[in-house]
Amino acid sequence: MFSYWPIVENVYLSFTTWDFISSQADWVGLLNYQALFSSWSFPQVLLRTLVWVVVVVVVTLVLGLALALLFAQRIRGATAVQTLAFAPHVLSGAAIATIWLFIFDPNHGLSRLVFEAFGASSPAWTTDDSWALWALIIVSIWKGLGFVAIVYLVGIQQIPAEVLEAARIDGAGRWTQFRRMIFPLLSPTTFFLVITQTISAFQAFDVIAMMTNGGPARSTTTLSWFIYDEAFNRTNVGGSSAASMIMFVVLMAITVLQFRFVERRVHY
Amino acid sequence: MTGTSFSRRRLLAGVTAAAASLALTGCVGRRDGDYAQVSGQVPERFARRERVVLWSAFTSHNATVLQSIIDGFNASQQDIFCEIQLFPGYPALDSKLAASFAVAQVPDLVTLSDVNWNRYFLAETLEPLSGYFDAGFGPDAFHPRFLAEGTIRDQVYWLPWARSTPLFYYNKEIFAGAGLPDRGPKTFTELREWGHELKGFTYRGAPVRMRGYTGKDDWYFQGSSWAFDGSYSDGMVSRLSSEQTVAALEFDRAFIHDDQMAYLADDINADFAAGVTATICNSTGALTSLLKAATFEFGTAFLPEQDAPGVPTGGSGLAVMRNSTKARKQATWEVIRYLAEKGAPEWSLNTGYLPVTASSLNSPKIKERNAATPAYQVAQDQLSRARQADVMRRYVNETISEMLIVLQKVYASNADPGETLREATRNLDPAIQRVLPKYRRLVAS
Repeated sequence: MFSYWPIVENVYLSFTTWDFISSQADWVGLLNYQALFSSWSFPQVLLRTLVWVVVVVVVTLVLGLALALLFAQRIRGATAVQTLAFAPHVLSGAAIATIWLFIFDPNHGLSRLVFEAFGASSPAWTTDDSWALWALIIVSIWKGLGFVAIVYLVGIQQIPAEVLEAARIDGAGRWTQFRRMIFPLLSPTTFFLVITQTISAFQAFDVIAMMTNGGPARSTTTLSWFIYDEAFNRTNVGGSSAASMIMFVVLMAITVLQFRFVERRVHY
Repeated sequence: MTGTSFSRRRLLAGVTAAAASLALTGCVGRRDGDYAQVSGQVPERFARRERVVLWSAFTSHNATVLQSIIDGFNASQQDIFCEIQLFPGYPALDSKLAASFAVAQVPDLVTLSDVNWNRYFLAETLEPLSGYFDAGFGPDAFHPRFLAEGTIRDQVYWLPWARSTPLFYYNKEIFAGAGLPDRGPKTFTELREWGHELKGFTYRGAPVRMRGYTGKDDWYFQGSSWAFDGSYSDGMVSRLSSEQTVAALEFDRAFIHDDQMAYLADDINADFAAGVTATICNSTGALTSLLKAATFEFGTAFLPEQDAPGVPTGGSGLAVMRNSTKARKQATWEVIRYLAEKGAPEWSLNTGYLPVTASSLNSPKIKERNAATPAYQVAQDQLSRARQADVMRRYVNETISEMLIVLQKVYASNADPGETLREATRNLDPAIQRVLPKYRRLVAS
């Protein structure tokens, strides 16, 4: 009831025009979908969302794996570093955004000091449309990195030591061990992380809401923010619901494709 | 077996779809009549009183001031208990209020901003208030200009409370250091000339720019569009792409990108208080907090003119929900009466919002405060040249979102003002057409 009824109602709303408070929603058929695909901005939102998802997921996974490999080395202080790395995952998006807004502030923030040390001036991270999306991507990667690293670390620790020992005896170097043994054996973990991180990146909202409100000039408006903006800032409930349905279909398609094609390459 | 299972599944799916369709036609929208009151906390000692729920969008210091006034109301009589429920700003209150209609459970009194009360009016959710006035508490209890802004077809729907206008703030130390006069610029052209004179000037070790713009509020541009003899709309006819409105935006573009003496700030208050920008345009309501935050002396002045004055009114007022019960609405009116007669001076005095009631306009304390801090008097004096926002900005909800995109494109990306305003006009056309029938039926004369 609580999971599926909102979906059913959302489908209905996507065929109506309504502003939340009018006495009734008027049926408009496919008009909301037509409006989305005929506007110049919605395809840009989809493209931006794609860039956001791909960069955030790929970079988080690559850096997370690198961090996990580092944690797997039995070095002093590793546990403390693991805890620190995991901390951003348990912090609220609002708290993280507030911290990063201070860091990115070109007039008073850490960014100014860092850039001035190199004789340059800090970019206006959140008010310049060529930097804003990258600023949010950096924050999202930082937020997700610890979780990915810890999940990968668990995966690495489950690889039997004798398998790697045998590879070493057979003369496999570190890179060959990683490429031929560790990475393939981590494929179930990677598969799990790709699906969860993709869905999470699609649904990213808190950091955008706190740091840029989708701006400047819609340069950080991803699909999730677009849905919110249409519904609550423009009170275009029908358009927002139609965009939600598109997001639902896209996520469903990605998940099905991943299960159908990527899972074949997973070694359990 | 497979066939039976398939048929049963199809039958179930069909029945579910039919039931959903029937149910959905009834669950979206709003029924009329008396609604329940939103839940909350009533202290034991007030349990027997009529409860009035006030939804407030004021936070931190202003929330404390309002609570103190309402505490005074609760202590002043034995019949009504007013409970304030807080929201972090107008958008948060707006979305919660919209949701409250869907579940037929509403507050009684709400602080609605100057640009979103109209939406609730068009949805016929606001109580007409003219009939509540009596000989002891008449319309003359409120500032006539502001009362008129909440009046449609001779019925009052929205009462003035936290009203404001934008004000020009300038850093006196920077102005003196750069050899600029101790006053605000008379015109936008003069502001730009002063910007040239400020070039290369440093303050507290950092270069200073003349004006920090915000990309989070189009209120200031509404004013400068008027100053350049343009506007957002004439009635419901868009004038966004008119030559004059484009000229107003072109001024901002050139000031930021050609002169490099203005910029898009993330937080204009913080930048002004830190001396990063020499001037800002900000609400009169920000005056008190800026006086606390700034470590230098600053002055206030009327907004610059160009071809005409350009001062939009803003802020928020009080509206009563029509779907509240008769008894709750009558009790709510008593709260309003207390706010207007007793609470308003304390409110203006402690928040910096304009005095909008007879009680605050005549308050000796406010006169004393204005004499001691003339910046407050400047805000009051500027009121004579202020007017409410254009119809399109007030009634077409998408206008503000669309204008924020326009301003951010020009301020951040040096986009062509004419092109972006023409694009906004095209984007807003479907929304105007959607609102127009209701506007004609309920508002247009």
